Amino acid sequence: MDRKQMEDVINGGGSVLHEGKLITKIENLPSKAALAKTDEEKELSAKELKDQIAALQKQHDALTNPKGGKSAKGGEVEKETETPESLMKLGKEELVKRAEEVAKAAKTEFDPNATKQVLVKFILSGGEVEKETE
Amino acid sequence: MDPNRLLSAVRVTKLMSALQDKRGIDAKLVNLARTPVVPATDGEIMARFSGQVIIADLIADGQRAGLYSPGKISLESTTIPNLKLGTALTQEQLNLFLSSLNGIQVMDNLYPTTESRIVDNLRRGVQYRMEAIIIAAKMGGFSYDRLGIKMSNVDFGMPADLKITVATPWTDPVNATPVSDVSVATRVGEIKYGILYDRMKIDLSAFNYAIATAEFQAKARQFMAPNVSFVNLDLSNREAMRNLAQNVFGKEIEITGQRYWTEKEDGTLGSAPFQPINKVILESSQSDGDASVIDFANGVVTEALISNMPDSPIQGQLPLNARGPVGYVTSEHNPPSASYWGVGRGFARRHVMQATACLTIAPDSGGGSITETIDFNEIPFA
Repeated sequence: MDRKQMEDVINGGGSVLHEGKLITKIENLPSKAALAKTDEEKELSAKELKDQIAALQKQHDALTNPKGGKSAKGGEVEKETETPESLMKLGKEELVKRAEEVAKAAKTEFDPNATKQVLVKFILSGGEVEKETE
Repeated sequence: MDPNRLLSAVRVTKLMSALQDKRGIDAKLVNLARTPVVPATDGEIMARFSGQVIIADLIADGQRAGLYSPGKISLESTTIPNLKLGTALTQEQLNLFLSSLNGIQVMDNLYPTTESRIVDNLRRGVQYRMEAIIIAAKMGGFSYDRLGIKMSNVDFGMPADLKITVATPWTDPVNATPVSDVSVATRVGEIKYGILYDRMKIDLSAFNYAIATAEFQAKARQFMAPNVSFVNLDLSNREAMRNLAQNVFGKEIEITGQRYWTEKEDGTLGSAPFQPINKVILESSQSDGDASVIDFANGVVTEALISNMPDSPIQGQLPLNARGPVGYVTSEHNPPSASYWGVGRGFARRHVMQATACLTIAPDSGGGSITETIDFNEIPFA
């Protein structure tokens, strides 16, 4: 007897006797996977469960992983508070890019080959500190 | 011989009653024999009290006792259907009747032998329908669709946990557990509803499937001699197997299988079992003959009123309070015909909802269903 037939019996005002247990409510029926006997039924049940898991995972991801790094509003970037320590954690290339932006804004120049420490000082000062080369 | 007196409704009904000897209810109408037939009227109000007995509390001196709901009284009205069938006399038979009236000796006299047989068949026809309805009340469901009358899934109020469908049909000899299934149903009746089912009514086909299961044979082992196994037993020995099964199931076992015949609308004959072969009924023998458990409400037949009206097609007059089954004759002139009728008016009533349990032990059709091996399309004596 498959689950659909069991549901029909209960909906018709009866009950189902399954493995010694008398079931009168649909929510108490065993799952389709639990009732699967043949290899074909098991395969089908496994596929249905897999699809359910994928759909649930998708919902979970949407709730717990909001889209980071990009702003919802065009053009405006929410700035984080920059400290020497946070800038020193960035890579050289990233620091050079930031320094270029600062130099452009301040209409100054800087040495892209300078040390990270110099570039950090340049960025934090807004383009006023001269570069130092080793 | 006065044809009016011969065909009068009073005489025909008296003949029908005479043929109905107390001991003479058809042997296969077991359920009708155990069910009281109770006079009833249309719109009769039947009050049913439903509720549980609540255990008393311990109350200290000077303290108030708890007040609980008294249960529920529900009022139900019974509308009684007619149970009716007729037999038309052929013109040949009518001519024989005429010959008898004219004093001519005829070989095949319509009266008394042939008429007795006609009337008796009509009486039994009504009783067969009463039997079918009583069995439906015990199974907790009734459906009928014929001659413009449609009744679908008439519910007698049986609790859902007494209308049980087994997940593993008894047609599966390896995995089915008939003994456990019956035990679960018995326990529900005893513990939850306070009624002990000590009788099991089962069709022979279903019985044969039950005793062929591995579970039954394993549990029957304790009742057999050490050097005897099921290999040595003749499973077709009904009486021996029934005695063994009564020990295993722990209740009286009644093998059913009685059938009735019906004429279909296309004129062909059909046959059906009173109790479907995939249904097993559990009941208590203490309920036999107890009108407070299940009874058959027997109403006054409407034909009694019709027979007392002027120019009634019914020959003669019935008492106005006549309850079925009664018999009477009607006649037509063009073409000439006369018909004998048997009629009753009633329906089964289930007063105690937990009176019986019903197990569906195999699907109605398809995989796992019980196949009827007898060909009922081959009609003998047609």
